[in-house]
Amino acid sequence: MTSTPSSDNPGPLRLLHTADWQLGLRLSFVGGETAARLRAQRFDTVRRIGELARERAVDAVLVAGDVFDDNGVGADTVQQARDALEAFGSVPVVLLPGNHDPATADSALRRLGEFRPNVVLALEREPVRFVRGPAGRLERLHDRDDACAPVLEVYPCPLLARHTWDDPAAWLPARTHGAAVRVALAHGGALDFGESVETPNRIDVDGIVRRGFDYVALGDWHGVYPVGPRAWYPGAPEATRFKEKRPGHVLLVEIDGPGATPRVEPVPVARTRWLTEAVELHDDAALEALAARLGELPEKSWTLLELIVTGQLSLAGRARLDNLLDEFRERLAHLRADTDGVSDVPSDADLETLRGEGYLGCAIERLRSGGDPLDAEALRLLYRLIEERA
Amino acid sequence: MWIRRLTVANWRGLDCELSELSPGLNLIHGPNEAGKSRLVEALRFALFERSSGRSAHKKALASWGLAPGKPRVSVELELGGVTWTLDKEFLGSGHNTRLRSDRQTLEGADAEAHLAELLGVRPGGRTEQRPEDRGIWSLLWVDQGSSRDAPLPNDLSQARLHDRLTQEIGEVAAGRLGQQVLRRAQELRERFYTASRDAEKAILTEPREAVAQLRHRLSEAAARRDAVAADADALDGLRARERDLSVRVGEAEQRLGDLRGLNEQAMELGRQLDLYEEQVQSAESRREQALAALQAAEELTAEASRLAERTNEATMARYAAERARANAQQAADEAARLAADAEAQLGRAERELRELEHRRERLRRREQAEDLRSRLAAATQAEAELRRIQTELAALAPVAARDLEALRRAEQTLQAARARLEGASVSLELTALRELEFGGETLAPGTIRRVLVEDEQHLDLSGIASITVKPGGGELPKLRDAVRDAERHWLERLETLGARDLADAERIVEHRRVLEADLTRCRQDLERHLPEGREAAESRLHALEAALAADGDADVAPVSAEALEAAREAVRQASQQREARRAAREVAHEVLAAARETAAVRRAELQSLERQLAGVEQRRRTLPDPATLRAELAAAERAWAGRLAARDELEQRFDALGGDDIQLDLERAERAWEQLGLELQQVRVECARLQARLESAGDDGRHELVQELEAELLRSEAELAGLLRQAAAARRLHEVLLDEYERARERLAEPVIARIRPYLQSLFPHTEVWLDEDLNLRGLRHRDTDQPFEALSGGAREQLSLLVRIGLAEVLGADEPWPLVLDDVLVNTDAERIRLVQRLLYQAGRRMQILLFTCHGPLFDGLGADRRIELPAPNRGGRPQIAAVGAVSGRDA
Repeated sequence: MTSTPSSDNPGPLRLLHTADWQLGLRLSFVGGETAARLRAQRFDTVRRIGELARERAVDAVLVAGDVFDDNGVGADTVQQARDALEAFGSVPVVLLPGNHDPATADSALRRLGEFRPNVVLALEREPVRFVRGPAGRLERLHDRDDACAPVLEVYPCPLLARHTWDDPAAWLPARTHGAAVRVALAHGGALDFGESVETPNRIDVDGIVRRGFDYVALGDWHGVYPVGPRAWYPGAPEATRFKEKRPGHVLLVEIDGPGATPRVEPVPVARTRWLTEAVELHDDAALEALAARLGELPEKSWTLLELIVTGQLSLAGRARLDNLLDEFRERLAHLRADTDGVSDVPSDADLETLRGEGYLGCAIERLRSGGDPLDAEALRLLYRLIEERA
Repeated sequence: MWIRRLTVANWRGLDCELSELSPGLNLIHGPNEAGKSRLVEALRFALFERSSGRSAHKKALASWGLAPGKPRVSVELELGGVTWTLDKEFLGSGHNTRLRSDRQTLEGADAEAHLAELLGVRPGGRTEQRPEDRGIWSLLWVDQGSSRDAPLPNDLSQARLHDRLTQEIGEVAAGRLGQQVLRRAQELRERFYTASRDAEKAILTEPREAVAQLRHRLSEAAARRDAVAADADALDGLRARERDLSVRVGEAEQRLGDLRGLNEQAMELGRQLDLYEEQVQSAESRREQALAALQAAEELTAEASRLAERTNEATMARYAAERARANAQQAADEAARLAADAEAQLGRAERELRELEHRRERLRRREQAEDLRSRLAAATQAEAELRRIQTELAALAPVAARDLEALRRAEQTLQAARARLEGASVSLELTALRELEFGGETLAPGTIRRVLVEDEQHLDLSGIASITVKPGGGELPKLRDAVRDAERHWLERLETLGARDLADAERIVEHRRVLEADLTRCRQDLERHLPEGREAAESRLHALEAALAADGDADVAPVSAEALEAAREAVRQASQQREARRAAREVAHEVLAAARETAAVRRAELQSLERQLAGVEQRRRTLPDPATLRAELAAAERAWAGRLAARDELEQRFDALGGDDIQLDLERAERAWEQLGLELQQVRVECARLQARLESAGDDGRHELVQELEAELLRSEAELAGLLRQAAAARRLHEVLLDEYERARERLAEPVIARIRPYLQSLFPHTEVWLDEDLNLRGLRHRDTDQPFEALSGGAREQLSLLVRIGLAEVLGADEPWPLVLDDVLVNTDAERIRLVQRLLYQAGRRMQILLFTCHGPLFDGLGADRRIELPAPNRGGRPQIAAVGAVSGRDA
């Protein structure tokens, strides 16, 4: 996207499409100060989005739901959201309630309020119209002044209750007149993503497009995903779970005019890195490779790693693995290690270490041949005791 | 090691030497006070107590009596192929110990230290050495009075034993590493679990409790968050309802306004309708009055006409009734005359009849009197005959036919008794052949005398003979009595009857029968003549005669029956006629009465009708004429129809507005409007309440709290799981280590048990010694039961303890044998068992030196000791004389 607007020719409409900020979310599996840091990072990421919006001179920012993690968030969270939103300067920001923060009586968005002129709360099923102001900036049109032709009409589809199964976009009217770019802003499932449960608030995207909308700005799915040329999910700017696919982006959308196909560019904004890796270990060399791999991870304090380890290790190797994992639990933002697939097989060297005199030999043999996971654990402990003494 | 010689001097009064001891079995015996225990004590001091020091147990060694001097002991022993001589003097100053071999001589502390090393004991101190410091000697040495105690291995002896056994079985139970690991595993386990009850310690219970508390807090926080969310949802729902209700209240209000307008119109129409209704009713009333007047006039006319007709009819009826009454009067008069005639005719006929009947009655009375007189005469005759017969009957004896029968039976009885008597008596016929005296008379020759002897009788024949006759065999008196009784009875009956004999009695009876027949006939005649009785007949006769006298004597013409009957018939006919005439007269009277009544009724009816007619005519004259009345009625009907039509039109207009229902509809609408308003108000109140609650919940950070608690719970649960895993592993490791350690120790004890086994079988057949993993003697094991050492008898304990010591000594002495020092160890053992024990001691003496001290020498005569030393009886002066028996065995000394 290279076009640059001028005062005469404002050029295409430029929108920043984002969703699922889930401000106030705390990652329950992350402990201590890291948790507080990651929670605070979500606000910083919003700032980063605001800076991006200004850098890329977007006309408006559309946030497609789940601005807050829950309507029950506290005053400090709401205040931090206000502070972060200041980063958008005067760029209009349209905030849509989602299933996490529906427009119910306790709505957190309502508490946030339209505290700045550029902040628009899309809590009703009413189109939000923008005209281009003298400085070429978009300004919100508050009344139906036909003399002013809007350049952008945002049709929000807010979720008005926590538990509904209706299509929130069902109310959207078909295009009848005007030369404005029409954008639908909705939160919910547009597709069956293969989840085992039925998707609530299923949105008929094709139906929206058929009604003359140029772009459908969707939210709820946490990874970047194009439903069609005119409908996208931007994903969450910061991931919330390991299983999410392609999180950490916002979308820059350019629309030349009504009917034109939008140009969409995913832009990474996430600070946190969420990785899932599977490693199979069969010898100490592989273990060293893993240690090197972990050691090479950039920005470890912002990295959350899910590591699934399988294979067979000697007792010494197992002790090394445990130590390694302990070390990186400290160094990474979060390490979720699944070692259930690792079996301990004492090596000759282990057996040499364990070649205890008298009864010790019998005890070791008994623990080795037990087959009980508890026996394996006990054997590792015994190995450690003998090692300690050595 | 074995002891060659032991010499003591100044040892609590004992100076003695045991020389040329055997490396095998040595028996040292002697009576009490011979010095046996002092010798053992001196040997113990030599081996284990240092010579320096003057502590109490050493001071007690000072001799008494005639031999002053320091207590000294000297031991010569073989150890590791070296002969050592050990000399110790106690209660001196400093160390008085010297240890010599052919290579070196050590003195003082060095000697003590080297000796301790050679013997494997801890060096003696100032105080008396404890058994646990004596190493293996605590197993090899039995003092007097300790024979029943189990051998108690101390740490030194256990270490020696373990070393020996490890060497022997080629494995160690637990080396240093094993011990350390076991100890460390136990420490780890006890970090998590208590040693006594294996219960979780605070390191586990506290996180567990923390997790439980976190779960609780989380559930509370989540509930609170959800409650606020539920309030918000409820508020949204209420607001939607409020909007809906507001619309509905507006609609209800509109509906209510419309209905109120309609109701006003309807009420106005209603008022007019009431007015019209009154007018209709008034016209109707007038119409009905005109109609009633006309009908009344017409009814009066009809009534007058009807009454006039009935009056005519009544007049005609009255005339007819009057005529009928006159006819009836005439008929009644005629009937009365005829009835009087019939009455006179009847009187005449009756008088004639009465005359005839009177005459006939006088004639009949004369006949009756005559008959009565003749019957009375015949009766008098019959009564005279009757009296004659009765007199004759009274004169007859009172013999009845049944008396005759009784008399006959008495006579038969008498005759039968006489016949029986006669049959029983003896008839004698005496013919005198010469003159003789018989029965008071003189009988000439040839005289025959018959004698009926009916009773015992003596017959004297004049001095010739006396004959006694006894007839009837003794029954004669009875027969004679029977005859007498029968005779008396018979005579009494005759006398009672007044007869002379039976024939007389029979004649009397016949005569009586004839007389009684005559009597009956006379009575019948009497009855026939005077059936009513003489008195009644005579009375009747008197009455007749009186009547006849009154009738007079004039003759009376006879009256024929025909004349009488004719007179009667005349009376009957006259009577019938009179009755008929009377009846006719009654009928005529009745007819007359009825005619009179009918005439009266007709007259009254006529009068009544005439009065009614007059009344009706009077009323008719007061009314208007019918034509006038008809005109009035037509006018009233026209007025009524006009009012009715007006009212109906108004009513249709009222109904078109809704009629009476409109009021109801209005009420309903008002009620509905009020209810909706109330509902709206309630919803608004509830909205306000929820709004206030939401505002108070505000932005308290409940979501953050829930998340924090979730994270904390997750962390705590993971921590707890990790701790539990570690704890379980530590427990498992310690369990396995401990189990294997104990098994190894059991294996270690096996060689000791194997050594004791052969000795045991002779003393305690079918048992196994029970040693624990530390080689402590625990008792005896039978096939399936354990017998603790403490539960055994004193003798058994003594014997078992000795056997175990021998076994342990054999284990310890595998390379270098060690001596067993036994001071009176079989004091609790019976003679039989002592013989068995002696065999064992003998066998053991092949492999180690045994110093057996006893005061029961003769008991051990069969021991077969290699060296036998008898200690002399106490001798207060000079060294004891030692009598040595036996010789060093064939072993290399």
